[in-house]
Amino acid sequence: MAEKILIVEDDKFLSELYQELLTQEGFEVSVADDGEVGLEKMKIGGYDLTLLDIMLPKKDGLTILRELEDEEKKKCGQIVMLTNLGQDQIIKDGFSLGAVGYLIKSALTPDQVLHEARVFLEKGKK
Amino acid sequence: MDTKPSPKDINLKLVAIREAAKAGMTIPIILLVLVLPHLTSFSVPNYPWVLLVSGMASVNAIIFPLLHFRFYKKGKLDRIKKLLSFEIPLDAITISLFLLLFPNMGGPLFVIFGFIIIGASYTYNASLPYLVALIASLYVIIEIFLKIMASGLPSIYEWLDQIMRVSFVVLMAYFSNVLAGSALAEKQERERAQKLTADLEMSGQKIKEQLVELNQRHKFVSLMRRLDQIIMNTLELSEMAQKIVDTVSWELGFAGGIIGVLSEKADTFNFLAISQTPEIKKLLISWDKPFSSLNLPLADPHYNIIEKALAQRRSITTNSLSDIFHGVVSLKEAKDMQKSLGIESCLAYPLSAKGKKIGVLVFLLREPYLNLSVREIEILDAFSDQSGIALENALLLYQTKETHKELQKSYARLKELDQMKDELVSISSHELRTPMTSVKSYLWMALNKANNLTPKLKKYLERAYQSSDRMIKLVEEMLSVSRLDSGRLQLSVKKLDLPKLILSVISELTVRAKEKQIELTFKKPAKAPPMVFADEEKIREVLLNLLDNALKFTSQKGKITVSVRRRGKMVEISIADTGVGIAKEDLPKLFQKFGRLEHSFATMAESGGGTGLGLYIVKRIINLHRGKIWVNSQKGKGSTFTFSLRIAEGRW
Repeated sequence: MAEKILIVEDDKFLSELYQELLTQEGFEVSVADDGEVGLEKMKIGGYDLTLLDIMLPKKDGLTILRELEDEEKKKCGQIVMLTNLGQDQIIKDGFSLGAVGYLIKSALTPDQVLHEARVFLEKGKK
Repeated sequence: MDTKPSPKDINLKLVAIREAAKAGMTIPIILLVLVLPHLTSFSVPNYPWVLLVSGMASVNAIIFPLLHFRFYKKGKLDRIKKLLSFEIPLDAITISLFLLLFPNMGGPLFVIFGFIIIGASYTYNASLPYLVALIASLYVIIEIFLKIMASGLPSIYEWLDQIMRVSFVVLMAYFSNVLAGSALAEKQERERAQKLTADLEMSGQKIKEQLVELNQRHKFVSLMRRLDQIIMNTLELSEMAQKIVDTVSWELGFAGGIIGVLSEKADTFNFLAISQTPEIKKLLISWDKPFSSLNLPLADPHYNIIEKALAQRRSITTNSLSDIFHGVVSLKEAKDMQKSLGIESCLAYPLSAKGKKIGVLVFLLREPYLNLSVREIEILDAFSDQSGIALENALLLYQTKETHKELQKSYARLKELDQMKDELVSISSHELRTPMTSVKSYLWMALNKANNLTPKLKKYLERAYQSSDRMIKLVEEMLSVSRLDSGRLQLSVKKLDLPKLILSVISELTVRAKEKQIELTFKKPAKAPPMVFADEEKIREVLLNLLDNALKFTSQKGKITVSVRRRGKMVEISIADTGVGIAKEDLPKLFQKFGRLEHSFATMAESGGGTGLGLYIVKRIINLHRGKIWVNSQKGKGSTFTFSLRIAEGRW
């Protein structure tokens, strides 16, 4: 069965690119455009990997993590932060709120993102 | 009765001598008058005449001395003086009457002798009476001689007659001599007394002058002390100016004072203060602006006395207040002021300190300035000198304060600008990165996922991809620099295992190295180096940056070697390449902001370029770690970058 990935990302071009890339690789991809939609989808859950952007309209990524119950977080699989900034404090906060990793979008090429996604999915299986 | 006779008026001792002498002379005369006619051949005079003469002589000899004594006792010196003026004519009359009474004494000739003798005593001639007495004696001797020649020896009475005559004259001469001597002494005494009095008066005058001088000096000293106090206790410029001009009106007693300073550019004279006397206060109410806001733009020619005093560096005087206010207030206002304050003249003194012109102090006088004494002018000179110094101090402080204020303002503005810059960089870097990530990612997709790319199109896309990558890096580095420069970058220092980190970074870059066929190796030391204090992420950034540079500037089949060694309390990490090297003249620019090297443009283009910020960031990070970074390089033979980090011993 195809693994499920949720992308919470407001930049439409990027989210579509990641969606296209991941779908091509056989994943089942769901997308949320802003923080509120993201939170709702995450509350429902059922994902193996969630790529969560930090800077989001309506509700930022860290707030989403704060509002989610631990049980709900478990239903989102591996939660990986997507950022544009290597800001230490935000990343630290993310880790303490249950994120398992982070990706700096601008530093990675699409296939590196793909590679990272696979690595995190593998980690989740263990 | 303690009015003591003063030497100035009468020498009482001399008066006493004279009175005694007269008494001594008069008693024998009375005796002669009363007794002689019975003893000699003198014709017996009429008794009423005898009584008159002897009465006058008695008065002279007894009453006058008694009166003198009485007046002396009572201290009535002016009476004594009057008495003396009576005595002289009385003396003369007494003598004349006496001689006229006894024609046998020699007649008119002896009257003349008598007058000469008495007169001599009042002309202070002491030898004349003796001369006269000698002549009288000779006359008598010749007379006796002629008588003997004519009629033989005279009778015993005649001898007695002649002896009487001679002895009378000699006696008179003797007393006259005593009188003259005493009168002379009195005169000398009087003269001496007069001289003494004059001397005394003169020294009195001198003392008076000195007192005035002392008084003025005291005033001067207290004035200067007052100014000193002002200097010591006042820091603020306008307050100091006010105090100085108030001192002019209160302490110097002038109608008032005006003070002002030159502007910093010395092109305007700014009025600071005018004495706040009740009259001036009243007057200023009707003025439409405060006195301290007045100013005088300096120009040539000098219509205004203030300008003139400043230009000529000397005090200038005028009778018209409008000369002070020319070009500042209206002629009418100046004239009204002059009239209501009763100003007769104005003195404008230029103020300077350390040879620098500072301002002008104007004294407003209720009298013509020619009335001022030399001492007063000295006071004004000193006062204005001191005021100049006082004002300079205040002015310096004022300027310092102003500069400080300006600096504070500029600093605040700079801080604001700096913050704005940081915000701009921060926002723009974030905002830029999102679309740039899209651009870069889609270009990558085009290059890697699209089919049927012509070689030309592929080349174009590759260039676009590299450029977008460069742009993202530039934005990132700008953000780093902004954080470093504003001091917002915080290190999270921990104990760090360097070989582990180096290996991790190398593995990250292996693919790229292989692409360029460059041998990238870590020369592991035989003995593991100690741990160091470092922020892992930041040192990773440093290593990536240095290795990235090495890869950029090393040609195919080159070598890049990373090595680590301990040196004292530090561990040194070196990255050596066999690349193009760095020209000597470029070395100093290497670690500077935007210090991209002119001589490396060619290689830049080949290798995708750089931002010129990388090495600057690296150096700042290493410095934050209290380490050092340096480079050894030779053009064409490669470069070795080395940085040092502190061994993790004790506390960070």
